[in-house]
Amino acid sequence: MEPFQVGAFLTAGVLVLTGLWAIIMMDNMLKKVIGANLVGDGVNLVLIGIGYRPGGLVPEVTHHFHASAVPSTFSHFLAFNEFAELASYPLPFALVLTNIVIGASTLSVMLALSVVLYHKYNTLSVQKIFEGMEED
Amino acid sequence: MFNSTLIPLMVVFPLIAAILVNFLHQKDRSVKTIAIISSIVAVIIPLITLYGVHLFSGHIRTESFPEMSKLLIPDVYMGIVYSYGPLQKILLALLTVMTVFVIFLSLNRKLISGVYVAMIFISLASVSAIILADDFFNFFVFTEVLTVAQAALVIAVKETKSHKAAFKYMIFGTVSGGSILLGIALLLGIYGLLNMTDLSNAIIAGGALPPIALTAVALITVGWLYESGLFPFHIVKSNMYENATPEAAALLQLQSKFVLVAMSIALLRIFSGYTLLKSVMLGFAIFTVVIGSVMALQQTELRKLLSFVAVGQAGLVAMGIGLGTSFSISAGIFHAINDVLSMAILFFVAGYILDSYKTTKLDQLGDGLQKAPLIGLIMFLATLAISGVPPFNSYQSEFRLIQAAVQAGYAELGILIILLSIATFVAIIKAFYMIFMKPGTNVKPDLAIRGRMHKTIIVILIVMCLFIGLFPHLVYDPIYNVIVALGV
Repeated sequence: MEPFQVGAFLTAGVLVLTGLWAIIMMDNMLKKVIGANLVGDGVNLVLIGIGYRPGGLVPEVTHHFHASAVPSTFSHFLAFNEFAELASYPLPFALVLTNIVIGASTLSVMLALSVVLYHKYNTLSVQKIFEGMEED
Repeated sequence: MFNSTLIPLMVVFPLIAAILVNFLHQKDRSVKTIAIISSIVAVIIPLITLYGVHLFSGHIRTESFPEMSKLLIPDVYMGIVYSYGPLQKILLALLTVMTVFVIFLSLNRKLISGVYVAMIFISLASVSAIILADDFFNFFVFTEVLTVAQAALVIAVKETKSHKAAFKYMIFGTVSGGSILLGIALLLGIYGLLNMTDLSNAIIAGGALPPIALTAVALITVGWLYESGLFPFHIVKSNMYENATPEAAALLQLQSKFVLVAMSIALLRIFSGYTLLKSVMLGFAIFTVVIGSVMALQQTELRKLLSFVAVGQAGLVAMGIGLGTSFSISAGIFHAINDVLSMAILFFVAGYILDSYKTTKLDQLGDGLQKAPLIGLIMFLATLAISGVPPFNSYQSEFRLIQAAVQAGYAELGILIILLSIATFVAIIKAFYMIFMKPGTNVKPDLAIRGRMHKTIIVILIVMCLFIGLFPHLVYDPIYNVIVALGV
């Protein structure tokens, strides 16, 4: 495992635990939302750590090889075998990208709900907002 | 080519319909027309699609170059794969029909909001994708989309308590989504694959599961519990059902049970050699059954009562799957299909009562049988159906579940299923008495508020319950054959 990966996994662990701590222990609604977002960020960092390869080619950025290349035309491209040996694994990054988009949409819905509940109760305290749930 | 083209349409078409009705928000007539046409087309697509596999971008299985890629299997799928077979057909046919009913009732209620109908279509597309996907990537994406769409359906009620329920659901949803994704990330790190078939083969080729893979199983199981509304997330889920409109609640409970079925099959397929998973599933299912039925017995508000009954019944479905034999898994899936029909009738009846009496608090209701005899009769029949009384459909599935439990060596679970049926019957018949037979009421009903549409849909559903009860093999046999073929 590369030093970057070790660092990424440790940081991800800290992010996930901090997020869970915020969700469970903090009374402020916005801090809970931020905590939920931190959990997602931690998971993204795990995926980035998994996909990392020192000096690896990035397949999403540009094509580095051509499977049916005529050598004279595509001489600047790598052969497939060489490319496959050097390329980073693109799947984790695709997952990260998707999770960022989903995370943004869920974050916006949660923030919108926080605004609505704040206007109703004039507080961000989850305890105060949810204590009368049965009577509503 | 015919089937290959139509399979992804089951996901793509509702998404296009959602975008259209969303853009036409507040143009009531256009929203209504597009919603009706789109929902009917959505029902037709699964019926005319031939069984098969759709390979996105047309990639067939490709050599995996094990010496470079370190993959444990010689060839892999290079794109997203959707599989469509008899089980998917049954689930999708029922899903689309129920979605049509909910859309029709929403339009009938003059709740013609483009955004609201769009959310119904998005949730339809999400559940369809979850049922069809043979790929963890798609699976994760659409479970997240489903969470947002379901929360939006509850938020649409525009009451403070529905906002609170949606907020809780979203917070837990974010954590469970993270849990599923982390599980997927760990599996990706070990095996380098996301396709379920490939992953299953790679795990078999790799021998015993390493500790990181076991962590992944645990993380994905947490997501499974949340998406299915099983213990300890039963409160969050029942809160959602209770605070949605009764029509939306009928759809939400159906979606949760179908996601439970799809996700369970995926887990059992991938980790087929890991027997502890089935025991864990069974344990959480038993907790859910017991807690759901006890909570249902305590309720004095109809929607809350039905929400806990729905949660308890989801536990019953999970119990069948957790028993882990082909017979029990088939019976569990069969019960999911039967239960969503009976629960939908009860939620629709709750919708009728809410509109007529403006409340579903049982102590404020009464004298209903003189005022709405047809609805009373249907609620009584639906109570019999969900309690497993012959000749209704749930009798067939619950009988099979009891048989499966005894065959698997868990006769005590058979007794638990009978007790659940009795508890369900007592809880709902108590509500029936309070609404329809108890003399005196504090509220004046407005019985003219609902059109014929509502009653027609409820009657169609009760006929479907009766039909499946009389001819169970039409539904059960294809399910059993698929489960045996999958070898889960």
